[in-house]
Amino acid sequence: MSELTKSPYDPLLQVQKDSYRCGKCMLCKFIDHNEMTDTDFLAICPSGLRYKYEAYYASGRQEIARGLLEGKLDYNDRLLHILFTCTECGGCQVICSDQGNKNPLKTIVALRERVFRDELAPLPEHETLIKSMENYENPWQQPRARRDAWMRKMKLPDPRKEKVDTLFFVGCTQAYDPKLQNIARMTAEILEAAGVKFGVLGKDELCCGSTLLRMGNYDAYEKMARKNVELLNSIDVDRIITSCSGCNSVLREEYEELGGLDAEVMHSLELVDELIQSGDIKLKNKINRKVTYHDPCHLGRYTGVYDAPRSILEAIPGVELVEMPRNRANAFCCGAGAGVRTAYPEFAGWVASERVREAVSTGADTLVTACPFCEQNLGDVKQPKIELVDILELVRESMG
Amino acid sequence: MAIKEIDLTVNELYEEVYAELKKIVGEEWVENDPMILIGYSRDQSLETAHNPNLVVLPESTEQVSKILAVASRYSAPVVAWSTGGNTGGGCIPQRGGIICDMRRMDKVFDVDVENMSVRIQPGATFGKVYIEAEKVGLRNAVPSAPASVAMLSNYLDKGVFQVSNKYGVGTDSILGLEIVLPDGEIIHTGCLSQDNYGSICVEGPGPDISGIFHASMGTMGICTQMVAQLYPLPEFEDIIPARCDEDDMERVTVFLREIAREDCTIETILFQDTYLGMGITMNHEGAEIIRPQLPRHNAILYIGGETEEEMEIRREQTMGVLERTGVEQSPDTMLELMKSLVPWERAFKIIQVTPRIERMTGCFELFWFNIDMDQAPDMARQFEKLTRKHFADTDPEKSDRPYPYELATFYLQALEFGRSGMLEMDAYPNQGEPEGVKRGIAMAGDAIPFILEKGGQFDRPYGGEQSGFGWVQSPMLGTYFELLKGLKHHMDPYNIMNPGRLGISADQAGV
Repeated sequence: MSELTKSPYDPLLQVQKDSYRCGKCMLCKFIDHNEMTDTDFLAICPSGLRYKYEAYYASGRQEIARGLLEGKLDYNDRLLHILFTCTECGGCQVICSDQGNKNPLKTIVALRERVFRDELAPLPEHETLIKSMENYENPWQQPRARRDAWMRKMKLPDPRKEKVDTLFFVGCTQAYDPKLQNIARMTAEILEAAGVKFGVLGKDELCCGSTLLRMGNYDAYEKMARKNVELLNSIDVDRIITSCSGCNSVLREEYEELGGLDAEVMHSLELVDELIQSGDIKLKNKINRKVTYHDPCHLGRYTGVYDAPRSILEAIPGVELVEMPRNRANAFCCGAGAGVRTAYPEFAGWVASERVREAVSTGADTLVTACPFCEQNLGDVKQPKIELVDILELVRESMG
Repeated sequence: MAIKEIDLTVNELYEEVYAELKKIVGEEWVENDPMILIGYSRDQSLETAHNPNLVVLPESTEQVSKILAVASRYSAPVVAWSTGGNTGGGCIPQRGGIICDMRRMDKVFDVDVENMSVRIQPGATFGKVYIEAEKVGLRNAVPSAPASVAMLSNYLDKGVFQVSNKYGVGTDSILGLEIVLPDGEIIHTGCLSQDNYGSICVEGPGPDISGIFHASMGTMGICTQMVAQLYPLPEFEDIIPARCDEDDMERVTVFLREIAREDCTIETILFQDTYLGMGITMNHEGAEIIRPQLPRHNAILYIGGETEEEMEIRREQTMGVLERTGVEQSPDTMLELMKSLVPWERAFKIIQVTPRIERMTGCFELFWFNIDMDQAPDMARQFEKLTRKHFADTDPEKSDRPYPYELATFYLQALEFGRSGMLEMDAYPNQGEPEGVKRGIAMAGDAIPFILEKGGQFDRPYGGEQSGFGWVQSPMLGTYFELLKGLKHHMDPYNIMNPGRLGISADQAGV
C-alpha cells in the first residue's frame, strides 16, 4: 500500500511497472505514423488535444500515477478533471502497446478505481447514474418494468422457455432511450427476416456493468458482472449478440477476468455481415449515398471489429465508402465514453465536433456508425452537410 | 530591463508571475497545479525528476517575448519544452521555474519546393513535417526517434540521423531562425533575417551568430521559428540488409566509413542484435527468442534514385563496399522477416524501432558523443565491460536479475562522409527504480573519464548538475568556455534560461 491511499488495496500497484517505464516517446498523442495522411487529423487523444497540458495525455497520467504512488501528490479537484475527461477510448493503448508492453489504459482505469476507493469519486454528475445502477440495474433511472418497452409490439421468444441459438443482449441505452430503441427493433427485425432463431431476456436483462467499471466503481461493477455471468451462462445458447458497442466490449473482454461467458459473444454487425455473405440477408435496394464510417472505440479498438461494418457497407448497392483520415485502430473518439458526456458535456461536444469536421472533410454526405453512445454524442453536433445514420438503418432500407 | 526588486518569498513571487502570465496568454494556458506540473518533471533519462513552478503555453512569438520579459523581471528560470521527447534530461526544470510548453505553436507554415526548405514552429513534429514534405516529393532528415518528436528542437540540438553521413547533423540543415532572447527581444538569423524569406538561403548575415543558439539547449533564448532544408524523396528505393559477426567491430567501422565515403546509400543504420530483437518483437521474451538468431551487427542500407537505373548504380556501389570490406549481405529471409514484423514503408524513414525500445525499457541511452571512427571498436568493447561490471548480477543463475549485461549495445553513425562518427552507448536500466538510477550513475562515473581520455567529444550540453551526467566537456574547453560563459552572461545576466546547463552552475540562477 502506498502512503497516500486510504484503501488497503491500491490498484496503482498493479500498473506501477508500466507507469515507471514510460519512456516518454510521446507517441501516445498521435495516430500510428504509418497511417498519417492529413496534418489536420493527427491527434489520437481527445483530452490531450483539447486541454494540451501533458497531464491530459497518457504520458502525463503515468507521471500522476507515479506521483501518487510515491506520495508526492495530494488529491485535488484538478486530478478528477484530468482523470474523468479521459474517454477511455484506448487510442493511447493501441499506439503504446503496438509491439511494446505498456498498458496506459490500465493506468487510467487504476487511477479512477483508486480515487473511487478513496471516496473522491463518483463525480456529482456520475452519482445519479451510479445510484440508478444500484436501484434499477440500469444507468438511466428507468424502472425494470420498462426495460422491454422497445419490443412491446414484437413477440420475441424468451430463451429460458424456448430453445433458440442466439440471445440478443439489448443493453440499457437501446432498451430505454426512445431515440435509440429503433436500433434494437431494427436488429430484431433484421434477424427475424434472416431466419435467425433468437430470443431476448426482456425485463430480466441486466446492465452489463460498463458504466460502473468506467466510473471507477470496480466493486459494484464486479457484483453486477458476476450476476450477469451467472444469468447468461444459465441460458443454453450458442451465441450472444449485442448491438451496443459498450456491452460488446464488456461481455467479450472484461468478463474474461471473471471466468467468461460460455457462449460466443458477437456484435450484431458481425452476424449481419455473415448473413449477408451467406445470402440469408439480401440487399436489393440501391442507396445512393457517399458514406464514411466512424469506428466506435468499444467495437473497434476494444474488440477488433473493423472489417464487418465495412464489408456490410460495401455490400449495399449504391453506397460508396470513403475513409476518414483517422480510421480503424487510429479512429478518433466521438467524445462520449467513460462518463465524459455526463460529466463534461461541453468537452464531449467539442470532441464530437472535431470528429464530424473530419467526416465532412471526406466529402461524404452520410456519417455511419454502430454505437448508441456515438450516435447520441455525434448526433448533437449541428452540421447540415452530413447526416448521421446507424448502419442497420441502411441495411434495413436496402433489404426493403 | 532591470530586475524587479525582490523582497518576496518564492511562493509569493510565483503567484505574481502566475498573475502576469495569465494576462499574456489567458487564464486557460498557464497553470500552477501540482497535477499539471508533474507531467513536466521527467524524461526517459536517469536525470533527477523535478517539477516546475508554472507551466505556460504561448501561441505566438509575441507571447513568448512577453513571457520572457516577465521571467527576466522576476529572475525566474525558464525551460523551453517542445514535445518532451528529450533523452538527456534537457528539459527537466532542475531549478524549478517556468516550463514554456511550445505545443500550441505547431504549424508547418510552408514548404518551399524550389529551394527545398520548410518553415516550422517548435511544436511541429517530424511526422507532421514529413507528411507535408512528402506531398511535394521532398523529405526531412529524420533521426532514430519517434515521429512525435519536435523537428525544430532536434535540429537545433544537433540531431543525428541515418542520413548524417550525407547531410550532416541537424544544425547543418538550418537555414534561418527566429529567436526570442532572454530579455524578450526578438531576432532573426539566416534566411529569416530579411522579409523576403525564401529567395535566399544563407547563413549569417555576416559572421553567423546563429551558432550561439546551436546545441544551446535553450540556454540562450527560445527558438520560435526555423527554416530548415529538405531533401529529395527518391522515386525508386530498396533496402539491402547486411551482417557482421560479433568479433568484427573493426570491420563494421571500416564498412560504415566506406559506405559514407562512397555516398551510395540514402540512409544507413547499424542495429545490434539486442536492440533489433527488441525493436522487431513484442516484448522481452520475444527479443530473447529472436536475439540469438541474429548476427551481432545488422546494417540496414537504404538505396534509391530518381530512376531505376540510378538506384541500380547505387546498389552496385553498395555491393562493392560489402565485397571490399568483407561484410556479408544478409539472406533474403532476414529482410522478409524484418519487413513482416515492422511496417517498413515509412518506418525506416520515421523510424519506429527506437520508440519500441523506449516503450519496453523506459530508458536506454546513457551516453552519446563524437569520436574518430577508429576509436569506436575499442570504446565499444570497454563499454561492454563496464556494462557487465555495473549491470550484471553477481549470480548469473539468478532468475530475476534486473539488468542482463547482454542488453548493452552501441550505435555508430558515420558523420559527414565518415570524417568522424557519433557513438551512442545504450544500456537498459529502469529509471523508475532507485537501483537502476544508482547503477546508471555509477557507470557514468567510470565511463566518462575513459571516453574523454580517448578523445570522445560531448558536443551537446545535456544532463544536469545532480545526476553526474552534466556537461563534462566544459572544464576542458579553456578560453573557449570562458568566452562562452561571457556570452551567456551578456545575453542572460540573471541566468534564467534553462539554468544548470552549459556547465555553468545554476546556484546564482533566478529564484
